[in-house]
Order: sequence, then C-alpha cells, then structure tokens
Amino acid sequence: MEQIYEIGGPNVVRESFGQEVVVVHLETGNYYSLEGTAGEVWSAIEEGSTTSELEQLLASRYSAEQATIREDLREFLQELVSEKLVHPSETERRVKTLAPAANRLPYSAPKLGKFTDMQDLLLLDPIHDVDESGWPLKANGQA
Amino acid sequence: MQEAVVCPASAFFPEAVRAFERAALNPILRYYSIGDRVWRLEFAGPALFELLSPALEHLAVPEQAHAVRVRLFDSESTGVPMPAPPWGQDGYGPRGEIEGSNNDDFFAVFQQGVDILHLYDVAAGEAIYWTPTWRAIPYWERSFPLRSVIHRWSAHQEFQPIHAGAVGTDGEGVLIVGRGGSGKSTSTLACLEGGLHYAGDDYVLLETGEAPKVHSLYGTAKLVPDNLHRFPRLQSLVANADRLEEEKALLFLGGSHGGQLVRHLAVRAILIPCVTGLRDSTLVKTTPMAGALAIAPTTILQLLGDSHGVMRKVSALARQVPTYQLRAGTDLPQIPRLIADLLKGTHGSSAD
Repeated sequence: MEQIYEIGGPNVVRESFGQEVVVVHLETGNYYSLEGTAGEVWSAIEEGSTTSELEQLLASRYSAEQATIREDLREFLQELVSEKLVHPSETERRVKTLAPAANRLPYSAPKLGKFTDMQDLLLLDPIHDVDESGWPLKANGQA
Repeated sequence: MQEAVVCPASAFFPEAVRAFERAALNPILRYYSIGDRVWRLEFAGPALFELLSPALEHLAVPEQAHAVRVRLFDSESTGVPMPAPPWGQDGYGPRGEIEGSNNDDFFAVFQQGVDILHLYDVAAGEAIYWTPTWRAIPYWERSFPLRSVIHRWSAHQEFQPIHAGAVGTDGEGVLIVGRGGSGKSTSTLACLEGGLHYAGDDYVLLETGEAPKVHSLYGTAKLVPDNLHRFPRLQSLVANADRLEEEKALLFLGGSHGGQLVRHLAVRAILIPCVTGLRDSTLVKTTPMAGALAIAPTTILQLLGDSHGVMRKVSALARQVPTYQLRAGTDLPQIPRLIADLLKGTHGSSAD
C-alpha cells in the first residue's frame, strides 16, 4: 500500500489545459503555472496516482535515470506540499503497473512556475476594531 | 420543513434603506446599461454622484425597467449616519466580508481601508453602497465603481468582470491583459490614440458563450504618471493632476473620446503585452494556458468570491480564442495597426 496526495482543498483553484495547469491559492495569493512533466504529474495526482505510479509514469514516457526521476519527484512533491497545493491523503492504495512507452521523450524535471506579485492584495490588516458608530475604524486613521 | 435562516446583513438591509431615504432628499437617478441589463443608480446627493458617475456615463440609457437597483450615499455630505450594524467587531472576515452574510442570496462586504459598505440582495436585485465620507473614496474606486457588486451579480450568469483592457474595430476586439508594469495600459491607450474603439483599460465585463463578447464597464483609463508624456493629447483629461506623486493618473474618457467608447465588442483574441525596448511591435502566438494565467489569477485575487466560477469562465474563453504575446515596441502607433490587422485577418503572426 502506498501514499497518495490530494489537491489542497477549496483554497486551491485550478484548471487544466491539456498538460498545462494554472493554479491559484486563495489564501496565500500566490499563483502557479505547471507545464510539461509538472502538468502531467499534477494531472496524475488529481487522478489519485501513488508516488511510485508518478515515478513510473515519468519513467515510462521519458528517457531518464529512474533515480533522477525519483529525486526530482520527491523535490517537486515537497514543493507542492510546502506551497499548500497538495497534501498527503489519509487513504492509501495499491500500486498499478504501467508499461513503458515504445519511444521515450527527452526528460525535463517537473518545475513549479510560481508568481507572487498578487500577494500584496491579501496583506490588508483584518478588521479588528469598531468606533462608537459601530462601524470599523479607519485603517489609515483618516477622518 | 427547514426554517429559512436570515443572514445578519439581510436583516440589516431595510434599516440601511431607511437611512438612505433620510439621506436622499434630492436624489439623482441614473440608468446605465451594464452587460445589456439596466441598472438604476440612486445617488443620495451630488457628492458620490460627482465622484462615481463619470466612469459609467458612457453607458447611460433613458429611464426604464431595471434589473438592479443601487442606492448610494455617504454620511458626511448628507448628515445621515448609517445605523450601527447588528454584527460586532468580530463579524468580519479577512477581506472585510460580513460573516454569515455571503451566500447564494446575499453579498455583504465592508471594504477595509477605504471604508465602503456593499450590501447586495441578489434575489431582489437591490444593493446599498455606503461610506462614512465621500472624502475617503480613492482614485481607483472612482475608476471602477461597483466592481464587487457587478462581480457578485455575474456569479451564476454568463457574465464575469475580468482584469483586462479591450480595444477593437468594427464590432470586433481583443483583450489586453497582464500584470502591472507589463505594458497593458500603455498598449491600450496607444490604441485609443490610434483611433481604435475602446471598451476599457482595467476591468471589462466578459460575456461567455459560443461567441464570447466583452462589454464596457468603465470609460476610464489609469496610467503611471511617468508614462503620461507618451500621450500628450490625453494629459488634459487627468482628473487627479494634483496628486500624481502618490496616485496613478486617472482619466475620464467619455467627454473627449465618446465616439470611440463602445458598449461591446466580439472577443477575437487575448493579447499579453511585454515591453521589449525594440522599435517594432510583433505578435507571437502562445498557449491557452498563458491566456488563462494572465487573466484568471489577478481577477480571482482582486474580486471576492466565486473564484471557481471565474476560473471556469476565463478558461473557457482562453480555449475559444487565440492568445498572443504582444511584444510591444517603442513606436506606439504600430500597436493599434497591428491589432487592426489581426482583427482583419491580414496579420501574419509567428507561432513559436
């Protein structure tokens, strides 16, 4: 039995375009592009693939050392988890075996394209006080 | 049978309406066509009318049956306070949303920092816009009044306000999209200067469907002051010329460019500008994902709620029309010509 990952809940808004994926995290204000192997791995995570199935998927389609793929995947999954885009699922399941493709493609490691330029929008101080009128005090202290 | 739960802001709404009625001794009524639907705006007096109506005036229509009614007032100019709300200081979410009051039937947000209350009863089609003082309305609010109510109104419909400019010719147009500093405003204003039709430079209303359209929302433009020198003919339109050290230049285009402001355009392409520093401008075809990436996150993060709906509508558009990188050169008049050629189908873009 093996670990699978789940997409990180309602704060993760995403859309796939073939093997390319756009992801927005509503809480952090970060957004992401996943292309090539990154998009493929994301789609396979959405389909409930286990870690070794993800590894097999890349190994069956791309010409690269298994150890390289394993290490790249470990780093990529770690990044997805630290960005709160996926989290380990409580369910586990048995691994399926994939047959390797006849012609394997050149490999490039899965990479997360990360954009942080919208974070500022979410950095407003939450409302924490009201004045005698019952309405929130001015954040900027103006009259 | 389940008992209907009345949310706090919905219960408060009639009180807010009564406060508006006390404030609106001489109301100013305006009707605007927003996404081909009629919105009736009732300003309690001249203070908010003068600040907020210029952005919408190009959409004015004669008095008629309306889909949405918005009552707008501020307490300082009218002397009428808003009654204290039934929710306390802990009744606000991280983005000012009033807890327990945002659902399928109701939208309620107190926009912190600028202190604007939006209450919107979705089923009744009635909204309240209130602020303690008209003086605190920032320039950017004047550039896109009611943006959050229009967004909420669009949910579960074929409409969606999106962060994009839109220009075109002969009823067809392109969206110009991208983050700040990408050349979005410069490219859009170059098109205005070049005589193209203009539906907006910052927020426009997408209508999804088999033939996607973009509706104009705001007859405004915003520009980084350092870029104003590129558009000498627009300089006299700057509404906040005395505050350009801390604000973007805000331009109302209805008076001078009324003939170029259009209510809608068929969307033929998405253009993502990037500034190259070269003289000439070129178009290079890119992927649907790039188009969605340039529109969806910025729209989702600027507007409150229905994030999955925004992603779905924007992604559908990105699959329907081609996306191009607009490699914007320094010879600005080339940009509108390039876009006009693209719309005529005579432009040969590269597809690398």
